[in-house]
Amino acid sequence: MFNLFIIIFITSLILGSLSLLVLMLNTIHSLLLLLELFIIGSLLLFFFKVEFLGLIFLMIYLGAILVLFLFVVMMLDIKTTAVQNDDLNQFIFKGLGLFFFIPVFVWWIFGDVIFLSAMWQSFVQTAVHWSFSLSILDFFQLINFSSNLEVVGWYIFDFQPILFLLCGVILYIAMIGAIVVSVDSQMNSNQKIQNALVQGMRRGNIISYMTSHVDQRHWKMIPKLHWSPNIVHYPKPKDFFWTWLGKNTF
Amino acid sequence: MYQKMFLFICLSFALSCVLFIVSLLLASHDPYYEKMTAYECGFEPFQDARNKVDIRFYIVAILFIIFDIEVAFLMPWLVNFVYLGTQTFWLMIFFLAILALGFAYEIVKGALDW
Repeated sequence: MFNLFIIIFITSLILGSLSLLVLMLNTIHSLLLLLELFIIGSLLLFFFKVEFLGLIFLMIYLGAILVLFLFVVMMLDIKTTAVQNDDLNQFIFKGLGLFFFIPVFVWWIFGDVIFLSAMWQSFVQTAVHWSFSLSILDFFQLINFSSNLEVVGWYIFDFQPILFLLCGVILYIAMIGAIVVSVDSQMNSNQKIQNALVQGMRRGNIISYMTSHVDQRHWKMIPKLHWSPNIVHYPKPKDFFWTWLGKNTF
Repeated sequence: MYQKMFLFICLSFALSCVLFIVSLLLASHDPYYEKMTAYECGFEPFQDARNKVDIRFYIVAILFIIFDIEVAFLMPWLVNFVYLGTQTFWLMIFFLAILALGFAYEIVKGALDW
């Protein structure tokens, strides 16, 4: 009975937050409902005794993906959606879309009896070696003491390592793509950098100062004739590398 | 094992709901225009309070995701790579090398140089 209560409670939470998420006018309220959905997903994974995946959901969905959504709301001028007076259009686009989710939940509750009993097993019988039932699932859990972390590790490194390598390639492509799209190399290459190491190692001899490569505008005090923006000079890691080789970067 | 944790989370959620609802019902609500709008030293607000946000913050967030997922893959390996043999060890080193290659590209291009 408690099992049924849990299922109905979680289903109603998901349905309610999904419908509100789509219908809310304020964007921040929609983000809060998305947060609630992610937490419910993580909680469900805890119910199925895959604790590692539940915590990873919390870490990556909440800690990273929701932060990206938040950045989108911050950067673009998105505050509220405009109130529409066209009720029929609203009903078609927002209301009817929600109806497509209902068969999924109906199937989930009433469809599969084995699914239900597995959830009962995993939620009610927590410490298996203290229970006295004789089903096959309990026997397997009597001899298997590995946690979800170890099982996931075995699966992705020993059983299907190709999946793991594909994930690595996807992450690599994502990194390269994000950098290619956003980095403006023109803006970064026009900066003049002061290198404190080189300046500190400069000798006080006027002859060596005059014969080294110095920009004439500095010691002849020629005024600048065109406007240029005040760029803050910070040394970059690659400049430390080049000065170690002995090459000037200004 | 997790029932007690779930009960604890439910109780804390219920407590925060109780605090919120009690303030909603029992506190006096008297909103008027001067109280609800932004304060700009007595003037009407000139423009929107948000200013332009540089895209470098978003790049930091994206790179954080990628390395966070790399650490999340590192976790199950750390627990049982001793029992799984040399092939899995070199597999993980190869995965770290792929991401190190991407990191080298990011250093050279200067994506995190502000």
